[in-house]
Amino acid sequence: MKRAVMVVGIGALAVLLPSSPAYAAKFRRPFSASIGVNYGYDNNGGGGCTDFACGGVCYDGHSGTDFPLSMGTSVLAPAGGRVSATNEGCSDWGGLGSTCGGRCGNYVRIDHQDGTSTLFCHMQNGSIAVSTGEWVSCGQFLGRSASSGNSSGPHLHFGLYVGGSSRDPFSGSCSQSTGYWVGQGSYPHNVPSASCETSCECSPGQTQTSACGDCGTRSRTCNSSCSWGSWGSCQGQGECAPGSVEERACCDCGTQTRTCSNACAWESFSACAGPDPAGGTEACDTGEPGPCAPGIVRCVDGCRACGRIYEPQPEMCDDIDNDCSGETDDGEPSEMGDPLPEMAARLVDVGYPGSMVSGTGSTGWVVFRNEGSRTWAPGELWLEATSTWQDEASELHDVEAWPAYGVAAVLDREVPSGGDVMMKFPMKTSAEAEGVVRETFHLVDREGTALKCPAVRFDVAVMTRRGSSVEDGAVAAGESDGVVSEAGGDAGCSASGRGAGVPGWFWLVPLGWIWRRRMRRARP
Amino acid sequence: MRTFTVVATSLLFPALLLLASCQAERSGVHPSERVSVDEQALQPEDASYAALFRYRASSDALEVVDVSSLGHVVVGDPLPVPPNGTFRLQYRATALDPTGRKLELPLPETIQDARFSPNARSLIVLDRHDALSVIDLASEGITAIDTQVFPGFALSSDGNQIAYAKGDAPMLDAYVYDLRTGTARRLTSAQRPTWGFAFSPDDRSIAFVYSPFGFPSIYTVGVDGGEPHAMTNVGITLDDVRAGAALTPIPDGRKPPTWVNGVLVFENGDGAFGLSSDGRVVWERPGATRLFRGGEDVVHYHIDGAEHAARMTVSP
Repeated sequence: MKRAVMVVGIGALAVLLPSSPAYAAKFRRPFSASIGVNYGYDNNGGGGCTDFACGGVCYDGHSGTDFPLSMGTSVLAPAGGRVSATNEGCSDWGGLGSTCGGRCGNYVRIDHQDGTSTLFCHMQNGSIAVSTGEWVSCGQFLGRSASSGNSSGPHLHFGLYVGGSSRDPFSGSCSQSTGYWVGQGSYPHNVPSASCETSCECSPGQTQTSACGDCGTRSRTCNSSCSWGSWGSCQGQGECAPGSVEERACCDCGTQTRTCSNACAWESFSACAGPDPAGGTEACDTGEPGPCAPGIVRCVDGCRACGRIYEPQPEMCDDIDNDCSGETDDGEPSEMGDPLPEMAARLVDVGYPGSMVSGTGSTGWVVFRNEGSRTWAPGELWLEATSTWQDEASELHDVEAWPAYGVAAVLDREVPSGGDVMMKFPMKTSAEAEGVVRETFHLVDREGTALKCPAVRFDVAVMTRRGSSVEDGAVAAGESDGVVSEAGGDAGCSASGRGAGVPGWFWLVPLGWIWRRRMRRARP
Repeated sequence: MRTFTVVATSLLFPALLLLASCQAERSGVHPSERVSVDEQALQPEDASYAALFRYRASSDALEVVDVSSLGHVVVGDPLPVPPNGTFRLQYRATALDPTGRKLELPLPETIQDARFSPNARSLIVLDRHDALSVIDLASEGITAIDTQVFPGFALSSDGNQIAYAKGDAPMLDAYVYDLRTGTARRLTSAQRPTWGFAFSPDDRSIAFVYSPFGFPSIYTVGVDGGEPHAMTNVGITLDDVRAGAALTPIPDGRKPPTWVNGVLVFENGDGAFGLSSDGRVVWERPGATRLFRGGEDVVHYHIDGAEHAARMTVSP
């Protein structure tokens, strides 16, 4: 019955003070030895001294409690708290009148959680084991006692401050009703208890919540004996532990991972990554043409894939399918590769009459440079009219002069690599021709295969007109060998020619001839 | 007739020039500012010297608390204290004129400290209740200065200012009090051990012992305030101290420090020391006690049962 009343009473207190576990710090004696007070606090503001029990175990003006600890005695924290100050550098034997450390010598001061502070004076120089800002627990070693500062012999001066003012830690009729020791011992030379305070952990009924597991929470309740009950089960957990990592294999090779967020949820998997199978030495065919065909088996996005060894490049004139298009030197690339292709030609210059009387003939000329690696042999290259490639007859076909159908000229000399050659090509228009007659001539080899690069063809556009009886005179630009030159492009632009058997003066008749000259310059 | 065992030392100490170049560099002092100290024998007929030893010999128990520039003396009879306690050093004090006649001054029953003004017209007294006051020697009038004052105050050379520490020891701060205006200026606010004041010769700054970082060093601060600057132990941290770094000597309250011809002289439990303005030890007398300034450039001290006097000579 009595116990039940007590429980009810405590419960009522919990209702009234649900969250007020405040308590004043209680101190253990700050050393282990069973040593009592030598000189106590002076509770008398005037002359003489009055100790807490209204006796005289003190001295005038004493603002602390002196315990006669011998040199080197361990000084311990009387309760938990934070070190607010330390002082060192004072001689272990300060003597009477020493002001070192503000009379306190080498000292430690601790601020406790209830707002009180404790001060430990006259300690041994070099013995202080705690630093300002450090949290200490009850009974923790602070340093050793000595007689530094103003001291008449080895002892520990224990000071207590409440609200910034010194206070007698002992209870008594001349101090206060409640003391600050866990147990203050017996008068006159009290030996305070060496037990640390066992305080109320909490207020009955008070609840406390904390995080648990994977982003879960748990709670506990303060029981009637002022101690916390057991934690409840962990609720509301997430799917993973924050920061944890999960890894999984990809389709053929490599792995991918995902990380658990701070909210205990999985983030997305990363991209698959891993080393190439067989250390990147397994060969394969990419299925692509040319140099892109050879490959090695790689791990791409977690799967086996045949990866190129060679990456496509812009096409060059080098007998190689640089762009892996399936065709070598396609697109008439102008840039030469290294090594040079076997057969390559670059148009240097070309000249032909700009107009012709329908049904007459003439001759144009063209200069090509051998930019291949091999010497051209006589008869090896033909100048072919491309219109015949579409099974159409060339409108400039001179059936009598052309060496073969569709072939306007044939290389008639040997041309070494780097050398230039002029080829003359006869042209003849039909009698019915009128307007512009066009043709494209292309260098081909004796097999009929067109050369590909770097500049292997040229266009011809001739204005035809009817009516004049003046024979074309077999206009022959080809006669002007000395005019066309690779280096002298401008000079070559005024190429002139005359037909075979036509007198030279004839060419002085301006109205008879309209020359048009087109020149293409090779890229340097 | 009392017998004086004054041994006028004829020792001529060699110039004590400590080439603490590192410390000089740290403090930014130019080498040309280095100071040496010559110690010379002095004769007992020196007025202040004679007065000092006349009263010192009056009783073995008596202590000379202070000597004025004219030869006034405050002698103190220290109160006995029990062992193993934090007792304050207190005296029953008596003031005497230069002829040895007792001055009828309203001195407190017991004092902790006393200091004559430079012109010897007043006496500053700290009583047992930490109250600081000024007694006019002519009128015997008392003027209260401050309370909660810590022993070890100092007067400016013009006698117009008092530097002292105040607070609930060891939480102390430095103050300077202007006797002309009756106002005090707070110079520090760290509430750390603070003591041992000495005005600079030009009265513009104050040297004092200060422990803002957990160990004592000598600092200087302007009388108008500002940030105190370390004069000794520059660059040393508490970690260094705990690792065994040696600290420059400090006055420990036996006698306040004083500037003598450019040298800050003081005594502590190890002896008497002199520091140059850049914090170097330029004079050292192990075991010396009873250090007093005896004039413009002279200090008296006692060592091995004999009295000595040293003239501080600054050698640029």
